[in-house]
Amino acid sequence: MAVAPMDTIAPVQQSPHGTPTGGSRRARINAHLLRLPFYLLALTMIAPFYWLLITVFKPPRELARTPPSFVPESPTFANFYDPEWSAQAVNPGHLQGIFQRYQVDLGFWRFMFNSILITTSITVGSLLICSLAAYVIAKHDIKGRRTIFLLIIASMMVPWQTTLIPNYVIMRNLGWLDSYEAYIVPALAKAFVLFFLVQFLQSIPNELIQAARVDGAGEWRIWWRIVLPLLRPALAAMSIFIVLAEWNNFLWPLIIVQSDEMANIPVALARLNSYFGGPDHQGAIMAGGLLASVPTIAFFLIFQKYFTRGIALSGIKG
Amino acid sequence: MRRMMAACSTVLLAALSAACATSGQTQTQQANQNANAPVTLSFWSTGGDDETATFQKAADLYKQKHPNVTVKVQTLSWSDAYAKLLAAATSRNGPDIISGGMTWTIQFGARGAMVDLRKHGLESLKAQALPAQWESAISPDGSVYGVPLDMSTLALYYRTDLLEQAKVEPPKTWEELTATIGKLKAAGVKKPYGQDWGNLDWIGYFNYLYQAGGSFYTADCKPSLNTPQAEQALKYWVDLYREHGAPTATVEGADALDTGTAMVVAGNWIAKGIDINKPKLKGKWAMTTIPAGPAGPTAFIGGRAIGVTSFSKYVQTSTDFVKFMYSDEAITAIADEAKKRNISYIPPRPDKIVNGSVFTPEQAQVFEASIKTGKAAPGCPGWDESAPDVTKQLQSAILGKADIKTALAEAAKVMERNAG
Amino acid sequence: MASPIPLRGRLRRYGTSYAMLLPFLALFAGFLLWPLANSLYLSFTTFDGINPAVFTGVDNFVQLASDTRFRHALGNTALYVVGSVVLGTLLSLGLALAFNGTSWPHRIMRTLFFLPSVTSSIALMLMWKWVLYPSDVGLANTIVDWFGGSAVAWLATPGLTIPILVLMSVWGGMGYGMVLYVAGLGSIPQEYYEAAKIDGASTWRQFRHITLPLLRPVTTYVVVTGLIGAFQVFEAVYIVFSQGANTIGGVLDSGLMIVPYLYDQGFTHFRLGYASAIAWVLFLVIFVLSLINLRVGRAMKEL
Repeated sequence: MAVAPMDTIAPVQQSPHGTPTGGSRRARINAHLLRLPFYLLALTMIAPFYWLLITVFKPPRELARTPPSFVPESPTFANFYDPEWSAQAVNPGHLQGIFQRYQVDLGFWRFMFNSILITTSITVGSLLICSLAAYVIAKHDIKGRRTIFLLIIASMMVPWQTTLIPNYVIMRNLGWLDSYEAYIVPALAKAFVLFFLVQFLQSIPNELIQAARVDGAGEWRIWWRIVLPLLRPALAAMSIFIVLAEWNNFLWPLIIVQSDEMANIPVALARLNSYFGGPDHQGAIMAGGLLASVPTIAFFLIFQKYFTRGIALSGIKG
Repeated sequence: MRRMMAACSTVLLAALSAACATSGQTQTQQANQNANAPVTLSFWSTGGDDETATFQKAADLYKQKHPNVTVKVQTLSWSDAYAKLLAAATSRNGPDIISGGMTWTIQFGARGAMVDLRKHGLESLKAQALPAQWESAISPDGSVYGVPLDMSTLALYYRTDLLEQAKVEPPKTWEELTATIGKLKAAGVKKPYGQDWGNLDWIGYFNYLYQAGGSFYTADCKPSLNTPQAEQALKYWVDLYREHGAPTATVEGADALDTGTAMVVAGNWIAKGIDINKPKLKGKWAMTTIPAGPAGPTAFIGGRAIGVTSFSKYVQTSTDFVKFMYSDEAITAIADEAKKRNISYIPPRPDKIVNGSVFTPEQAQVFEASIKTGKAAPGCPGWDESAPDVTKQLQSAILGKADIKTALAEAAKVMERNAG
Repeated sequence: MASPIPLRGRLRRYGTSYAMLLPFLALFAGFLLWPLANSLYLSFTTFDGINPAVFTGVDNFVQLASDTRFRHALGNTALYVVGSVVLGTLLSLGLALAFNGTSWPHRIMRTLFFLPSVTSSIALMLMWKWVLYPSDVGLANTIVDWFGGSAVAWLATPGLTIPILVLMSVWGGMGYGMVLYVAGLGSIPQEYYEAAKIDGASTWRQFRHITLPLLRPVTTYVVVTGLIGAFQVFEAVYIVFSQGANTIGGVLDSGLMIVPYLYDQGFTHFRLGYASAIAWVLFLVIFVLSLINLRVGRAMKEL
């Protein structure tokens, strides 16, 4: 049975290190005093989030008021959708909610759809492509694999912005500007994913694969039936990185998106931001921000265990 | 397995063609001249989605008259519109019609991406347009790559209650402005004066520059910031910040009035929203033209230019649509929709400022006065690329990082360099 | 793996191997290697996107050396990178030491500090812009007001730009570093501390001689990835500090950094050659930093 590399990382220990444990009461009080600044720091973490949340539920007029209220006095969902706003007549005190703001079919939903589609395609696609290549590099004895791996590792040191301009020109000349292809295809070959998967595979003994070969399984079948399942924890860790990075991708979409329809959430929200500066519009903008965050936060809460482990795995291994 | 291989080879092909594609050139387009074939024009409009909706109304009206022509208006945001349009212009691929900053079409035209509208009979619009604004959209060689689509200008908005409290009248000249600020301060008004549109920006300086008798460029597009007038203007403007406490932070005009600023220089568009969105201010505010300088009352005239791209397949139809935007019915359709949405719109025809307006007659008259004596952005080559750098130089004078002469000299250098 | 397989079988197997590598390699070559080489070439040219690129030798780099805006961007980037990495790393370590237990208060604190890492980054930027709103309706100015101060022009005061950007970065990133450190702490064998205690070592000495040295790989990782991330900052500048059309970098360019300047030159001036030269400066800086990352050396040894 292969030893899952996850086990090489000891679980978080019960007792904290570096701070006194157990012992006298004085030591315990000391420990809490030492933590005090960090509890204060936690307040600064909460405050902006709280501000965002209450903004979402305040009507425009309450938003423009000084001093601001810290508990919404007339809480409302109007910043998402205001049934009393109308394109036919002015209704004082009512502005469009985030779902009413864009002229595109489906409005804001369209950007949610784009973001989800793009993120999912890139995540699944790059994990498949990278795991295939990683299997070959880690487990096949072919000529040039060391050179290839070296090249890929070296490329991890290239900031992707260096390739921004040529890639833009490529997209333009392929006629891919303003298309899902431009979002997805250039993002599929991820060097760090490959690097990570190769390392993970190297720590898996060859026996299982050899046994399958003896049984006459083809390489594709071995990849699909044996390698992928073995890689599962590593794939989970990598998918977290990919999902977060692609969900937040901004500069590349900013350059390749031309029409309203093809924007992802960040680009769509940036557009609102550049046009509506006043405080009364912040409710709808923050509502958009909240909607943009819900999927990733939900993803985090569901896969919380994988998150911290995944991050730890990527940071400590190697 | 086979499907997998097929997928792989597709990917390979894509990547290979990508590699080759950087050296390729975009193909030229064929014109479609069949008069009654259905045509869809794409119109990229810089601004907000509400404005897009108003222009879409005009487009819908156009379709009623020309059932085979559909114009699809889409929004570009001010923050990246120039980049997007420039990208379209350089790739010769994009919309048929564009609108953006007053002088943008000149820059795109210089790159060969715009149609000279003179060749399509749009010179006739000149008689209808405001001369100062028309001038600004015209290239130095006389080409008309864009015509004004709408106008905007500035006004001095003030709190009548606070001015009364200090027993002052709204200022009419530079001297009166500084004196009024002093009196308001003495009367205990904490925020006597602020600027919204043009704050820390070349547009803010524009007013003072022309009011002092200066200009950014000479008539033949030579940078002309090395003049005593330019210095006098910048000195006055800088003093407003440094001596008279104008805030460097830009607070949206209506919000500034609401939070106790006595006088705010802001764009015409804020006039629409104050009574509705700030009910507390109702009856407590008024507006007038911005104070005049030694050489006159010249205020900035902004607005957008609209033009037709050279890579459009339907140049003739597109120019006809542009012309249509000057018709009474289009202006009425846009203004009606703007009224419903409570947004601002000043048509590009001076005869329509008051009677085609979305504003109250009193408000419209203030804007009309401002526009009649106003000037628009310099239509000189390289101006749009220089503007951000000129702004930085002005900021360094305001924030005390450079003296006035140096700042202006540096700004002129940038303009010289970008002129070509 | 030197098994005696007949030639045909070997060919078939190798053929499959290369076929499996192909999708990755093709995409890798098409959208990374080739663009990288192309970008190097473009950096020695003048290229406006319409006409073919004209080779101009090192002109772009010579011009960069005397470009005051570029030097400004470099200076700002350096300040920002040092500030955010030093502060971020220290706070990450501090948080990990403070909250690495399994009790619920610790877990809640860890989740709280980690929250920005899983919040949409555009949402955070828009949130900051609203928190720092210039008039009294903004959160920051409301707090200033409680202490009797008058409204601060947060986003229009050049001296505040880099500190604000650093704080935004540290605020958003320290939870991530904390998670790495917590994992690092967990992998330190408990026996070391027990032995130290028997020897009568103080808490500080334990920290200094056991915890810190054993955390060194984590620290290297946190610092190097922090550096690389900080050099690439774009969104914070573009969203929070840019003002109006065509203007990037905030008042007096006080927030102008390498990538925003690259965007500015490349996409609002369409000086694609010049922008490529900027891209290569960025590349060289990050390449050097990455070489420091020991992970690479170790990975090669394993192969």
